[in-house]
Amino acid sequence: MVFEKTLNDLVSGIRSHKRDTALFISQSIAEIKNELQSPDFFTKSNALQKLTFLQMMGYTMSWAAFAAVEVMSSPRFALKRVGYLAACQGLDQPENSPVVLLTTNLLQKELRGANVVNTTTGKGGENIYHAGLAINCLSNIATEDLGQALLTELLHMLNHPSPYIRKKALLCLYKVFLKYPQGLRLSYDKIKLCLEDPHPSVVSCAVNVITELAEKNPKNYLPLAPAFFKLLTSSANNWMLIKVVKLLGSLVPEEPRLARKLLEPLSGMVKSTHAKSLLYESVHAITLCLPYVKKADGSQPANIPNVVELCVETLRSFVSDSDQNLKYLGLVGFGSLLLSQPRVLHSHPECRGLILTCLSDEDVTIRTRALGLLKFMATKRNLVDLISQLLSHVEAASGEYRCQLVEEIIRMCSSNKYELVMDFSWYVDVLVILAGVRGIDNQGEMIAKQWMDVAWRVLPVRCYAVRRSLEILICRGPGVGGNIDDANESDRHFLPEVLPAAAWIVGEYSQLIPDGVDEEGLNTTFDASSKGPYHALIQALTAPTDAAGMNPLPCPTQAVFVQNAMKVFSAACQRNVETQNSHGMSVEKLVCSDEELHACVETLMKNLVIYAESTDPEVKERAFTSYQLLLSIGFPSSTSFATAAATASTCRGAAVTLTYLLTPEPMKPISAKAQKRLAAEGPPSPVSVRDLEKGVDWDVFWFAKEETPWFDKDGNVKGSVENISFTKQLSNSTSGEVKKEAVGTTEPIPAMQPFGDISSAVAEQVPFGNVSHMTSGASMGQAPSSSNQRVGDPFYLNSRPSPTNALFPSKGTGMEGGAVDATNAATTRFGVLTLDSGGESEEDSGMKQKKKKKKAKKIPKQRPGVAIADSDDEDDDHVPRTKRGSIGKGDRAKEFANLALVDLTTPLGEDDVMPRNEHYVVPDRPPVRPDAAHQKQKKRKKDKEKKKSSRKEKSPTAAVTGDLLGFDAMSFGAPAVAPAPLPAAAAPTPSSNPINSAFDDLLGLEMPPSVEAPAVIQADEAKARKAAKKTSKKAKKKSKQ
Amino acid sequence: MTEFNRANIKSKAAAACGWNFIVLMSRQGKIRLSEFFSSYTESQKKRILRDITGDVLPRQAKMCNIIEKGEYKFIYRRYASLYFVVGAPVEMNELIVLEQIHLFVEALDGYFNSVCELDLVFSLHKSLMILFEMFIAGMLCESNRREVLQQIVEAEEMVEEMSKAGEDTSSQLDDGLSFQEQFQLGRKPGARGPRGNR
Repeated sequence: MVFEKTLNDLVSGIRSHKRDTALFISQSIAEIKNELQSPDFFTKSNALQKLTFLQMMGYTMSWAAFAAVEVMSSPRFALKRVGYLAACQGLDQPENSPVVLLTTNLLQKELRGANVVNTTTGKGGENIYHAGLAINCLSNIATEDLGQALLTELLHMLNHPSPYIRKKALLCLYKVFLKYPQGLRLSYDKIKLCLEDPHPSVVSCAVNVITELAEKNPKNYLPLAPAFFKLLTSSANNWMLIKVVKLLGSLVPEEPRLARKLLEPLSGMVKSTHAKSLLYESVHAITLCLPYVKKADGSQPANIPNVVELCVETLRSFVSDSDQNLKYLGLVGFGSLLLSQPRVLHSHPECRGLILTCLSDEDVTIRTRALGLLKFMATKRNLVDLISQLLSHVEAASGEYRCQLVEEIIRMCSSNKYELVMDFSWYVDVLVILAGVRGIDNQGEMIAKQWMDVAWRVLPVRCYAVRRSLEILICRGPGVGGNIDDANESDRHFLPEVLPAAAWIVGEYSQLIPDGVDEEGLNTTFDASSKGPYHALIQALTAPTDAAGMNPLPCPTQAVFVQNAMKVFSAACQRNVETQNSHGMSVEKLVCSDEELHACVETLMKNLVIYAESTDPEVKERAFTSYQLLLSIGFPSSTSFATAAATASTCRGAAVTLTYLLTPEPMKPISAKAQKRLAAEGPPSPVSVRDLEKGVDWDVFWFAKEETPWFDKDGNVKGSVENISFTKQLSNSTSGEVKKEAVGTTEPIPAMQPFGDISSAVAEQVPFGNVSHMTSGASMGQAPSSSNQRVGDPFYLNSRPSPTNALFPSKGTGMEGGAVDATNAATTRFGVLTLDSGGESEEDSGMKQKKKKKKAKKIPKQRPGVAIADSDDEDDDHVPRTKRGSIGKGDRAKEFANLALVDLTTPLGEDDVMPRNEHYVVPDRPPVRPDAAHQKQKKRKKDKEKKKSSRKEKSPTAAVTGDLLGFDAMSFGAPAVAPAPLPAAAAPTPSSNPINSAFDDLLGLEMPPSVEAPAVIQADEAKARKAAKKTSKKAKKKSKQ
Repeated sequence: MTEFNRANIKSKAAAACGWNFIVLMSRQGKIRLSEFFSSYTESQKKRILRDITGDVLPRQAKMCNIIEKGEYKFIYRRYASLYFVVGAPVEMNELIVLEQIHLFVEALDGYFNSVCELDLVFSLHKSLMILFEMFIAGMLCESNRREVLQQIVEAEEMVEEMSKAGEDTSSQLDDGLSFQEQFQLGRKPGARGPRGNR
C-alpha cells in the first residue's frame, strides 16, 4: 500500500512549514489529486479528509465533488461519513454543480434504508445514523431538484419511530422548502402534526421550523395561534418557549386581537421566569403587542399602564446590569418599547440617567444603541442640556460614532420642524460648533442645509446667522481673512460644505451685515489689513485661496463665493446711499467709508481677474461677468490713479444698478401645496410674460444711455457695422462698455477680451450677462422686471446645485418666468421640503398632515380575521403580491421571497400532488404548471440531461455512477430487452424528475405504458444508451464481487 | 396616541431561530472552523471573515458579545484563545445564541475530553460532524446536552465497529483516538454544569 499523508501529517506539515506554507499546500493538493484517482476508497476518503481541511483554510474543493460522491456511496459508515462531510463542504454552491444530481438516488436510498431496517430489526439501530448523515448532507446541499425528488422520503421520516430521525427530518424540511417552496403546501399538514409529537424535542424542532417559516409569511400560520397559545401556557422548556413567544409576537401584526390576549400570559411569564433570555423575549414580545392593544372602540385595556410599568422596570434592571449583554438588550428593548410608548421615558427620569451613562460606555455597540434612544428623551425643556452633553461627547468620540452623534444631534433638533428648539440663536451656535468638528465629512451637507434653512425661515435669528457666517468666512483659514494675528481664531477648521452655505447667507442677507456687526461690535476683529466688515468679507470671499497656502477651495464653492462677493459689494454701495439719504452727510460708524469702498473695488478688481482664469467654467463665467460688470460701471481696471473719493462716488452712483442686478427679491417659504399647484399649472403663457415686462425701470441702466464710442445716447449705433474693427476694440476695451440690451441680439458683438480668452467672451457675449440673456429670451430691447430676472439666467438654473442655485427658483414670483423646466426642476427639488408660508401656520398644517397620514394608513389596513385571498396554486406560486411577506429586506429577503409567496390557507387542490419519481405518462389533461417559469426550468433540466449523458460516455468511473444512480442489483433482475424510446426527449415532464426517468429509460426499465415513440432515435442517443448499458453491466459485476 | 411606524415594527417582529454561519477563529485571526448555513457567495464569505477579524478580535473582555452588522449580527463567545463567532439574523434572541454556542462547546468538550484548540485543529472533520449533528440548517436540533453526546457516541461506536469488522484499518482516520476510551475514562459530558440561568 502506498504511503499517504494522513490528515494529521498534513496539519503538522502546515504548522511546521511556516515559511513556505503555500508551496507545501500546493504539493499536498497535487498529492490529493493523485490519491483521488486511486480506486481504493480508503485512500480516497483520506484524501478527501485532507481536502476538507484545506477547504476550511480557503482552498476550493469543488473540483473534488465527484470523488466525494463516490466515497459517499461506500458501504462503510466511517468512509461514508467522510464522503458526506466532504460533499457538504465541497458543494456549497449546489445550484451550480452538476454533481448534486448524482446524489439524488444515493440520498434516497439512504433515507429509505432507515425505514426498512428499522422494521426488520426493530431496534432502530445503526441505520438511523446512516439516514442522519444523509439528512445532514441534504440540508447542506439542497436544491430545487433534490427537494422535489426527496420530499416524499423526508415526509415519510416524520413518522419514523426514532425521534432522532424525526427531528432531523423536520429541520431539513425547512431547508428544502427554501429551495423548493411548492413543497411547503404539500407537507404542511404533516408538519402541523409534529406539534403534537410525544417527544418534546421534536415539538421544539417543529416550533423552530414553523417560527422560521412564519417569518416569511405570518398570515399562513394564524390558524396555529391557539395551538401555540396552549404551548405558551403549558410548556416549561425555555428553549422552546422562547421560540413560541417569538412566533406569537410575529403573528400579532397580522391579528391584532391576539395582542390583548397575549399580554396577560406574557407579563405572567416576565414575573415568574428566572431565565434572562426568556425574560427578555417576553418583554420584547410585549413591546411588539403594545401598538395593537387598542380595542375596537379606541380605548386602551385597563392593564396597559401596569404592563408598561413592568416592561420599563425589567428593561431598567437590564440596562443597569453589570453584564454588558444585558445592558445591550435592555437598550434594544427600550428602543422597541418607545416605538409604541414614546413618552415613557419622560415619566422615568432615572432611566434617562442610565441611558445617558451608556453613551460614555467603552463599547460602541452599546453607545450606538443608547444614541438611538435619545430622540425619545428630548423635550423642549431639556433639549439644550441634552445637546450640550452630546456636544461634549462629540469631542471625545471618533470615527463612525462621531458621525452618528452629529447626525443624531441634528435630527433631534430639527425633528418635526424644529419642534423642540426654543432658541434659534442657540441652534445656530450648535451648528457652528458642529461645522468646526473634524472627521464628519459626510455630515457637512446636512449641517449646511440646516444652517441655510434656519437663516432663511427664522426671521429673528437671520441677523445672528449672518454674523456667525461672517465670522466663519473671515476666520476660515490662516491668511485669508487677514486677521493672522488672532492665531486661535484663524486656526479654526470648517467643513468645506458649510462655506458655500455661509457665503450664501452673507450674500443673500447682505443688507443685514452692519446690524450683525453692530450687535457684538465685531469691528474689533477687522484689523489693519481690512478697512471694514464689507472689505474683510470681500477679501475673504475673493481671496485667491491657493496663494494663501491653504488648499484651494472646490470649484463650486469658488463660484458661490464670487457671486456672493458681488452681492456683498452691492450691499456695501447701497448702504452708503441709504445712510446718506436718511442722515444727510453725518458719518456713522456703520457707514461704509470711502476708503472701504475703494478698498473693496480694489480687491474685487484684483481678485476677479485671477478667478476669471479658472479652469472651471462656472467660476470663470461668474468672475468674468462680474469683472465686466464692474468695468462697465466705470471702475478702471487699475485703481492706482483713482482717488478713494472718486471710486466711492462711482460706487454709490452704481448702487441702484448693482442692487437691481445682483440682489434678488427676498425668498419666502412656499408651502408644499402651493409648489405643487404651480407645477401643475404648467408653463406660464407668453401673455403673462409680456405683462411682467411692462414695469421695467430703465433708469438703472443709466450708464448704458451715456454716449460711448459706438453708441449714441439713445442706444443707436453710431457708425455702420463695417466701422467696427476688432483690433481697435481691443485697445479700447479697458473702459469696457458694450451695451447689448439697448441694441439687441442683431448687433455684431464686439469681442471683449481683456483676458485674451475668446471662448469665454463668446459664451458670454456681453458684459451684462445676466440681463442680456433675459432680453434675448424675450423680445428685443426689453428687460423683464426684477422679480423674475433670474429665471432665464443660465447661472441660476442649469448650473451646479450651489446654494444660490438651489434656492432661487423657489421664489414665489419667480415661477412665472419663461423657463418651464426650471419651474419643474424647482418644484421637484423642493417637493421634499414641506415649507409653510411664513411659519405661522406650521402647527396647523402639521396637524392636518398628521391626520391625513392616519387616514391613509387606515385605508389599506385589512380587517382582522378576513380570509386571505384564495386563488389557485398557480397564482400563489408565481404571482408576486406587493403587500406580502417581508419583501424588501435585502438579500435575505430575496432568498426567502418564494417561500413567502406560498399560501397555506387554501386547501390542497387536486393539482397539488406529491412529486414522484415515476415515468411521466404523456398527459391527456394539461400539464400541472404550465407557466413560463417552469418552462425555463424544464429547459435547464434538459440541458443538464444532455450534458450528463455526454459526460457519461466519457467518464472513466462510470461504474460508480451507475451505482450512484440507484441501479442496484435488484433492478437488473429483469434485463431490458427492447431499447426504449425516449419519452423524456419527446415530452419532458413537469412534475417528475426527468433526469431519473431519462436514465431509467436509457436502461429500459419499466417501460412507460403509453408512449408515442418518436420515429427517429438519434445516433448520439443510441450511443448514450450503449454506454449506459455497459455501465450497468460493470456495476453489476462490481456488486457481485 | 402618537403614531408609530408600522412597517418598522413589522420588520422587527420577524422571528428567526437559525444561525447564518459559525466561525471559530483563534486570537491570531486563524480560522479553525467555518460553516455557512445560509448560502453566501465567496466574496460575501470573505467579507464576513474579514469583518470578524476586524470587529470581533480587538474587542475587550468587558464589552458586550454582540456586534450589529445590518442584516445579521455577530454574536461571539470567547473560550481561552478561541472565538466562537456566530452570525445570526437580527431578530434572533442573542442570549439563546450564546447559550447555543455554549452547548456546542460543551459537546466538543465532552467529546474531546476537555477540548483545546489543538484538538480542533487536528480533527476538524470531527468537530464539523458534531456541529452537523447538533445543528441542521443552522437550527439547533437537540437542546439536551446528554442527548447530543449520546447521539455522537453512538455514531462513533459504529465507526469503531465497522473498522473492527473490516480488514482495513480505518483507525488512521480517527487519529488513533478511541472515543469510547475517552468517553469512559474522561470527564462525563456536561460535568461542568449549566452556566448561569439564561
